[in-house]
Amino acid sequence: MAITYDKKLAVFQEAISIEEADGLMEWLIKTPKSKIDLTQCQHLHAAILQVLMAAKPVISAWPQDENLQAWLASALNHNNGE
Amino acid sequence: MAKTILVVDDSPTILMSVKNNLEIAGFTVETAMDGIKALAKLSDGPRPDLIITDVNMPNMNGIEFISKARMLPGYRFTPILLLTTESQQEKRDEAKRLGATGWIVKPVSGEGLLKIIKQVLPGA
Amino acid sequence: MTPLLEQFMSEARDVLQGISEKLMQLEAEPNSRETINELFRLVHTLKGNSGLFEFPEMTRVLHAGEDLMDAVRDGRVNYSQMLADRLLDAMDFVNLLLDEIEINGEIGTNHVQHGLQQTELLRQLLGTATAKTVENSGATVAKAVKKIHKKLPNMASLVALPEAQRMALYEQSISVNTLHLVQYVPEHECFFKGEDPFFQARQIPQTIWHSVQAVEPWPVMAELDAYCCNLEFQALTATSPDDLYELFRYTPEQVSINAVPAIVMALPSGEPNGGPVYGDFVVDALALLEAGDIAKLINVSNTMLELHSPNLWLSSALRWLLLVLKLEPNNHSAQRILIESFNHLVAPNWADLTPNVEIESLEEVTVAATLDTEVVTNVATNDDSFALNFILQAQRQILHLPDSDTWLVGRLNSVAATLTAIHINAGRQDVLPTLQDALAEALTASTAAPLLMWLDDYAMQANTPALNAANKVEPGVVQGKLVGEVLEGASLSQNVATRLDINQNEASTDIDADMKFGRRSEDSYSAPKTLKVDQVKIDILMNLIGEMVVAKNSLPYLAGLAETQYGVRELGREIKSQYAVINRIAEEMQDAIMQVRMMPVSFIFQRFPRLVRDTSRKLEKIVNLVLEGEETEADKNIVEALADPLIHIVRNSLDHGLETPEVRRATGKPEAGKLTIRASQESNRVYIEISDDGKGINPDVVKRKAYEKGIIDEATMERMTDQEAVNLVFAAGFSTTEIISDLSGRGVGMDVVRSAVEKVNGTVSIESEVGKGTLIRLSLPLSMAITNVMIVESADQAFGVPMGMVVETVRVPKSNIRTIKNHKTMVLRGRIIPLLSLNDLLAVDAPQLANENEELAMLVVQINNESIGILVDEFRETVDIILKPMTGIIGGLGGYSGSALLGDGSVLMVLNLKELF
Repeated sequence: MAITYDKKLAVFQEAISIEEADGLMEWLIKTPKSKIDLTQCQHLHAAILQVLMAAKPVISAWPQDENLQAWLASALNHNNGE
Repeated sequence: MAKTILVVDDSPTILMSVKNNLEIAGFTVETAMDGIKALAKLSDGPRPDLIITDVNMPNMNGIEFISKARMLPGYRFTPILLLTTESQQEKRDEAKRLGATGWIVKPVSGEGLLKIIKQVLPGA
Repeated sequence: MTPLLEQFMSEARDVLQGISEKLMQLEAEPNSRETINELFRLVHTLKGNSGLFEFPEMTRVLHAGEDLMDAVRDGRVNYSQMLADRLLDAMDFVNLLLDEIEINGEIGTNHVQHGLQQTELLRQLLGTATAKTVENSGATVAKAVKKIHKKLPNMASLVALPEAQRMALYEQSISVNTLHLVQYVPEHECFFKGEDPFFQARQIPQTIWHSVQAVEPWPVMAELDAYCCNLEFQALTATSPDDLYELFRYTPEQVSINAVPAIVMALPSGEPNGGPVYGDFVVDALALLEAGDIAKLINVSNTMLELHSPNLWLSSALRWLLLVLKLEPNNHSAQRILIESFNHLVAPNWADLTPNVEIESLEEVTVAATLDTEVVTNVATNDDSFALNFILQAQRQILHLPDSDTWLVGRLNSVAATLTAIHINAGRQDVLPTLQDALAEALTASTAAPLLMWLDDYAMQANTPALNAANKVEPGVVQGKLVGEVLEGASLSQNVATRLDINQNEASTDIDADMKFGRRSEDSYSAPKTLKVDQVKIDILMNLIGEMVVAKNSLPYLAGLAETQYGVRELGREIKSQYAVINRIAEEMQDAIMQVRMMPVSFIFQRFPRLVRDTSRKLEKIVNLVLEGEETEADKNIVEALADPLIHIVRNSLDHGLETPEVRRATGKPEAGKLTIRASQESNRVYIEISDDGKGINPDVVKRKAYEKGIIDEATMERMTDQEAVNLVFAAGFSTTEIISDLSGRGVGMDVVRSAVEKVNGTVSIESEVGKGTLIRLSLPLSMAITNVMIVESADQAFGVPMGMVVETVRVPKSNIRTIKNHKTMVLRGRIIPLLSLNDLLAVDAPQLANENEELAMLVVQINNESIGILVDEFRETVDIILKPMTGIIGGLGGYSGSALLGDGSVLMVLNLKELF
């Protein structure tokens, strides 16, 4: 699994495929004040991206991948990517 | 982790060429000679991360194969590329409508093939 | 040859055969959809495969063939005999190329001309196919119209980039317009097509600014459909549009790509509260701008800059103003906006500078350009319309550059070249003369105006309804504003112009390919369930089993040794019983391998329908060909050896045997002649009979002819039976027709057939009845891999003689041998037979040895229907051997048909007696 869920924190690793969308949504709905750690994330499918955009969880760590970080920063309305 | 690609074409020459190129690039390659055999491979065997299929094939052609594959559990979102010639625009459109992700124009060099695959397969 | 090329060659041969078969079938039933579809598929496959290699001649011809078959399939072109003829010729050409590749590994340049001819002949048949295409262009146009772009987004977040970087980008973008905005709205259901739009967006190279937004506001989480894409991606990039079109080639309708003015980079940033701005500055600056006193404006601004800390927002704005004044001195609106921003210390939203009206009219121009190129080219694909839209727009932009430019001449020529290329590509050569005139005028007057007028006029001339909308737009006005004021750079056009030139080459070959709108229905084709193996591999197996037989044969010898020399009888018996087992397996294996080598005679029969068709047409005869027993099998070498003799016989029948319809009618026969080729198998021989119901062979004519040619003397001619006379056609140098025809003739007679058949140990016989027809029968061994030979000794050497030739072996008392006229003879059962000594034949200077009873060993052999006695020293056993032809220097040696390995490891030379006489 490219997403590991740990209480209120979901850790994204490598490429997150669309197959993870259902699980992520479910987790986000039942986990208020959830946090996402994207440090090791290389890519996430557009479906995953829109789930994040709609749910607006706290991004506790931004991806190391610069291109991904730049895009996500604009998508998830955070400024700490800059 | 090596990605698996299923290549479907009735021409052994094309299969050989594509398979060689993909294997050199480190992919695991499965092959099938027509749509029916390809569907059998999909329902039984390791799930490919990408499917490349020819259009004109005996028994079941590529377009029908794509529409059928999309109905199989686990293949709703799998990228599928059509192997076509430049003269098959209407086939591309039809295939796109029925669920193809894109197409590869034959003939394709090994480099060109990899470039296209990298464009539709994250992490490849 | 690489394995891939080998694979290609083998598949190509099969496909070519398939094509020719399908064409034959089509001849019989010209309306069979199934056959037409299959034919298309075959040509299509072959063309596709040939493209894997550098065989342009082959691909070109096949491409034309594919287009032609596609047209036939769509009903745009009707099947005709001429079409079949040309297609067959083209496939023959391809076959020729394959031969050459097989031999040389490549295609020689000498075929280029021929290839072009073949292509042209095929394309001619397609000639009428164009009209339909034009009607279809409407659909493509409609699609293009939908591509209306939105206004520029607010790119305020660009401010996040360091000012220095933005300034560099601005500067670069002014001189070479490189900035493009990509707006990408994937369709809702795109995920179900395997697309990942985010991954796609991330591949936009050299992005400077990104934005991802929801198209519709997000619903509450519980109602969110994660699988329905609700995203819009935007990015500012410094990449060329070409790369962007390439990237989004699968979904061009979901993306718009627009050049963005460099000015969007001009976003002041920094500490806002740097004290009050001199209230007058804005007013003064605006007044100076209005008055056109730029020098003073620069002066004032510099002074202001010196008075303020550089990290203030104000200073940043001043730096931008100075930069814009320097690089875009005429962009007054941008300068004004920058000055006005001092009032509220907020970076300008440049999207407002390029007001909606203008942006939209730019779009209309885009569309208009797209429209007329669509019409012009008939065939533009979606991707092309992107490019074409830029091309025409680019030409206009280039032409709008100031005429004073030193590069004017080059620019005009380049625009003209580009326009010429587009129109040639579109098949609109008719407009070229006017274009040439316009160019000449422009060059003489050193102004771009004539070409611009031509462009506009040209757009007006086109009278397609779809174009009317485009005509309302006045491109010049829009260009003037946008190009002059904001974009100011023509670099974009340069890019596009170059791109067009490159595309020209490809495009011209693709144009035909794109001319199709027909549907391709699929067809079923069942591939044979056979394994293809290179013949070389079978030959290796065959050699191995040969060696195995030899090795195995040493076991009885070993058993004997055990018994006699070492006195271990038990072991000897054990070895013998093991030998029996190994022997059985080896024999079965040999048999199995021979089975693998067997192939049906249909392999050669299949070429006859074509041969008979072509030949009879040329001769204006009507011939029904009947093939029987095609499934009969024989060794591959035998079947292959049969091909040429059979073709010769068939041609002879068509040429000399079967009569023209008129003659046949006159003699009371049906108009159509009948030619039957029948194969059958009896015990270990294959029989092929070729019979016709033609005029037969007249023995008297043959006799007289043979006499005239000096083949027989008068006496022989007198006493010859009719059958003997007919057999004369096999005599060397005999040809019955006076005129050597283009078909069977060239001075080669049936003797060639006879020798070819005999080479594989076959025989040929002929029966003929005047007025009724002729039957030629070939008898061939099933396999030539295993030869049964008798071993004889002469001068202390062993030789093999094929058992097929040996009639009997006789011990002849020396005293029975008579010498008549220097020739040894003897009477055997009342017949005189000539005797020859093997030593003499082999030029060994030794007499043949007699046994203790003074008897000589004589081998009676049958050569050319004549019995001859060969004297040898001794007979030995007969053995099955695998005959290997001799190669290298000794290959040229006459008198031997080959060599074989014997059980004791020695080499046996097998004699070819016919060559010895």
